[in-house]
Amino acid sequence: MSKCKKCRSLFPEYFYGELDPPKKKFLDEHLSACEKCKSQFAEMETVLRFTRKRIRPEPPEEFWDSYEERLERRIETEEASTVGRESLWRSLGRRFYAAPKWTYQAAAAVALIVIGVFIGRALFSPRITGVQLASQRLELTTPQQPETTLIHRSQDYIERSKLILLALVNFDPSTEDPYALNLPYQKQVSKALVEEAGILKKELAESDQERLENLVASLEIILLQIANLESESDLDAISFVRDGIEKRGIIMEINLTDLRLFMNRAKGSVSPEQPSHKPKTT
Amino acid sequence: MAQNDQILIDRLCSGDQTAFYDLVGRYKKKIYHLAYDITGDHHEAEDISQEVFMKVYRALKTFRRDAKMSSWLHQITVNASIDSLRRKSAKPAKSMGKFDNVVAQENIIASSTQNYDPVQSTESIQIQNRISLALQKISPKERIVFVLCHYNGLKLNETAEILNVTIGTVKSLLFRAIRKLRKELSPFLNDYRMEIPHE
Repeated sequence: MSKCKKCRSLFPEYFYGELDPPKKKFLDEHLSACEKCKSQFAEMETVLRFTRKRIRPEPPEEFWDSYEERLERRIETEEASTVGRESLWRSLGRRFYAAPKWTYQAAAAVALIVIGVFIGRALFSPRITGVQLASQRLELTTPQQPETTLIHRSQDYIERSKLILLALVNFDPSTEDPYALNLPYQKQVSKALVEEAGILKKELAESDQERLENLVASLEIILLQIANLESESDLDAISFVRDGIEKRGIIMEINLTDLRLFMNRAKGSVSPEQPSHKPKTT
Repeated sequence: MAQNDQILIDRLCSGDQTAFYDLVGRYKKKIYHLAYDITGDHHEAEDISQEVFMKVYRALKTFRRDAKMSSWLHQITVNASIDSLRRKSAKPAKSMGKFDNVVAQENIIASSTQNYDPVQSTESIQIQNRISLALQKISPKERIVFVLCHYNGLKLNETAEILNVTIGTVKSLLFRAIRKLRKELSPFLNDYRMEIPHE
C-alpha cells in the first residue's frame, strides 16, 4: 500500500479520535511532507467541522412528556389484537381435533407423496449451469439462424466482459479508495465469464469465426487474471492486469469487432470470417 | 451507563414491569434522534422509535443477560430505519417531497425554540437546511455510518458491530460519505471559509 493511500486510510480514525500514537506519528509526518494528502485532509476536516454546526431539531417537551403514554396505548392495542388472533386459532384447533381419524391419515399420506415428488425432482433431474440456461433461453427466445444466434451471444459476451475490463482500467487508486473497485463482485462475474468463454470458443471454432474466437480467448486470459486477484489492496497485481489489458489493445480490438459486426449487419450478411494470419494468443 | 444498563437488564430479566418504562425513559431520545438522523422525517422517527420499544417489549422474556442493551437498541433502530427508507423509495411521487418536508419541519421547529432571533436565525436556518439536504443526497448506507459516528458518538468498531460489517467497510463508507458531503456542501464551504491549521 502506498504511503498516501495508507495515510488516507487513517483519516476516519483520526477524525473520530481513535488513532493510536504510532499511527498518529506516521500521519503527522506524512501530512508535513505531502501537500496532496494535506490538502485532502484539510478539506475533509472542514466538512466535518461544518456538519457539526447542524442542530438536530428537537420536538417540544409535550412530545416527550406523553411519549410513554402513546407507547402504552400502542402496546395495549397490539395485545388486544393478539388475544383476538389467539381465540381464532383456538377455535380452529377445536374443529381440527373434532375431525375423524381417517382425515389426518389421508392428509399425511398426500403430504408424503408430494414431498417425495419434490425430493425426487431435486435429486435426480439433470443439473444445468447458469451459463447453459442462459444459452438455452437465448436460443428459445431468438428463433434465428444458428450463425446469427452465435454472433449475438458472442457480442453479448464481449460487451459484458468489456464492462469488467473498463472498471479495472478506469480505477485510479490515487483518487479513489480501494473499495470503489468492488473487487469481490468483479471476481465473481469474471469467473462466470471464464466458464462461458470455454463453451463459446468451441462453438466459434466450429463455425470458423476465428477472429471472434481469438478475441474471446484473449478476454478469457484477462478475466482469469481478474478472477485470481487477491484483494483490493494488492495494487501491484491490479496494475499488472491493467497493463496487460492496455498492452494487448483488447479494448480497441473489442471496439473494432463491434464496428465490424455492425457493418456486417448493415450489409445483411453473417458469413464466417476470412481466416486471419494472426497467430493465436495463448 | 454500562453498569446502570446491567442493573436494568437484570430487572427486566427478573420480570420487573417498571423496568421496561425505565428503559424507555432512558433511551427514547437517543432512539428517536438516530431514527431522525437516518430518515430525516419526524413522524417516521417517532414511529420507528415506538416500534423499537415494541420489539423490546415482545422480546423481554428471551433477552440475554450478557447482551449489550445499547448495541441491541441501535441495531433494531438502524434496521427499522432502513425498512422505512425502503418503503418510502417504493413510492417515488410522494418521497420526492421529503426533502422539502425536512426543510419545512426544521424551519418550524427552529422558529418555535426560545431566544429566536430572526436575523441571526436566517443564516443558521440556511446552514441547517444545507446540511440536512446534503445528508439526504448521500446513499442510505453512507448516511447511516456517518450519522452513527458523527452525530451519535459511536466508535468505528461499535458501528461495524451494529451493521454487521467489517471496520474496513465502515471506514470506506465514512470516507465516501465525507467526500460526497464535501461535493454537496462546497458552495457553502466557500462562503463560510474556515482556516483549519493542522496541529
